[in-house]
Amino acid sequence: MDNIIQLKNVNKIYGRRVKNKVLSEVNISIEKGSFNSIIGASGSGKTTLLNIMGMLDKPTTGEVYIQGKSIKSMGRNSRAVVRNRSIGFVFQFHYLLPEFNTIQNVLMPYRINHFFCSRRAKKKAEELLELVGLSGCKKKKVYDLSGGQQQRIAIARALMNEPRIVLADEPTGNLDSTNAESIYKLFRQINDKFETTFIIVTHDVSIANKTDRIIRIKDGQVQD
Amino acid sequence: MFISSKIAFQFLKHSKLQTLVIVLGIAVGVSVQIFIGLLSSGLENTILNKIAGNSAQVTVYSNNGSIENWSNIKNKVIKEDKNVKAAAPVVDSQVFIKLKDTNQPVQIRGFMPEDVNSLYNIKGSIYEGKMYENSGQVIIGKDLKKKLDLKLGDNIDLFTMGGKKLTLNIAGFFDLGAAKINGAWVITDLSDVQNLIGLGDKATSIEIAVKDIYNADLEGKKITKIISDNSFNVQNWKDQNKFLASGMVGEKICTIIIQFFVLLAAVLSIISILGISVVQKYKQIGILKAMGIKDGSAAFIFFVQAFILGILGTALGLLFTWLYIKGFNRYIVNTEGLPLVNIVINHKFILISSIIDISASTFAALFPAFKSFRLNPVEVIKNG
Repeated sequence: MDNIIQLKNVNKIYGRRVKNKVLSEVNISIEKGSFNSIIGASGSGKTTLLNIMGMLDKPTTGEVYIQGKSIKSMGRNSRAVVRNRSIGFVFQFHYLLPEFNTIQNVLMPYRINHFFCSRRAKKKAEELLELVGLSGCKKKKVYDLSGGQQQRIAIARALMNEPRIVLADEPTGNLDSTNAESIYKLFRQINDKFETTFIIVTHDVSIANKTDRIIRIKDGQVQD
Repeated sequence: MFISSKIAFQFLKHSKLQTLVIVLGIAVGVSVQIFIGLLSSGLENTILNKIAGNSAQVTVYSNNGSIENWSNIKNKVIKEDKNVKAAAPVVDSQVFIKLKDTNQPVQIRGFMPEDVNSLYNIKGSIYEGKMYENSGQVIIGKDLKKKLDLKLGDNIDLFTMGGKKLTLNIAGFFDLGAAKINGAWVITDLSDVQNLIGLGDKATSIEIAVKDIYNADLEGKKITKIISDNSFNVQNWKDQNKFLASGMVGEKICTIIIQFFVLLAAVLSIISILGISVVQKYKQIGILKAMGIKDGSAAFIFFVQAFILGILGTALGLLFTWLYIKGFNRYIVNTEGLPLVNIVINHKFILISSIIDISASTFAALFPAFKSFRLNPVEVIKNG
């Protein structure tokens, strides 16, 4: 199977005077369409790893390949375009834009790249809301929704541009077990339906155990 | 960029109170700036019309006492100096008006009828009767009329020092806004005065009106060069009214400085409030960047916000200016109930000020936009 993400000898050091090595010689490959989790203690470097995979951050040394292309030579704008088209993010805090209503939030990744909002895009956003079970909340303000509902909207938003990769950082960290379970099921459903690659950073071992591959990280080193 | 506009609009709509405060801040700044500008130019016009407007802007005298070839000089000056509005031969003399037992000394001024209008806009100053059209007619100032109890159609007898007499018929009364002039000037046809003092076809001076009254001294020098004859002496109103001229130039500079600082205060307030707004929207910008919005578009959001605020603020500012003018004309009045300063609505000045104000408001977004441009999404995501 093809690797959709590949990290070669990746190191990440924060700080100029006091150096803090967060990732050390990370070599990892993520297969296309796979369903992965990353687990590790607080401060082990999980989120940094995810941010590097998502091109939000750059490694200090080492190579990152997304869909076979090295991101080393890419500028900030090119990386932004790849993020917009190929990667969907789901964070622990939903990070929805309170200035926009539910459907506008879902449409946002599409709007960033398109001058006009086509009827097809609107239909797609409605379908995604239906997929996450919130078709009735189209026009609602995001702060009128519950935590679980907000996270579902964030998932719908992450899927809007039909990304090949979804990166989720503690997506259930703020939710109760029932909601956490339903979010996991939703991820699985999407993975099966669209063959989207999932990488989920989590503390929740029960969620991690349900994924196809668990990547353990300790003190910045991957113990696959 | 369209998405930037949409986001900017939503940001402004979402923080209505903050938007209102910035718009009010800009509106107050803009209205004060435009009002001060209009008031200052109104004040300038009032003073110039009332004082400086009644003395010739540039005057050419002859050292011999009279100018013979005035038409040559007039044509030459008008032809060679494009900033000259009008040039006219004038004959001045001191005479007496004899009424029963009293002799009233006055200054008789002879002009061609069309010239006196282009130099002093006398038609607009005639409040009773009309402008003289032929020789034998005269127009008289408001204060002299009162003093001598004159009426339209009256004949007055004027005597020179040598006892020569001229009888003139009153065609109208003028008010040039200065009691000294209204009480001393008697304006009539050029040929009448030439005949009275036996000057033939000569003039005692040539009065010149220039386009920019503040440059009358420079124009005076230019005209001296054009005439290039040592037997002529060129004077201008600025040299003749040194204190007034320097006071008015000083007032003009002060007004510009005040306008600049008022605008600067408005711009600084936009910078600071938009700066706060960037910090408030840190999360949103970070997440938009994570979703793939480009740095340029993230910065553009703040330019659009500032542009919208500039337009709204300037529009409201213009409304405020209108209210100030209404209030000023109504409450700041003299004993006759007329406005103290005649504010002239200068559309060009208002348009230019509005464009500058909107541009300055938009420019104020430079620092906030730069912050937004530089924002790294990881900072937001890491720190929640």
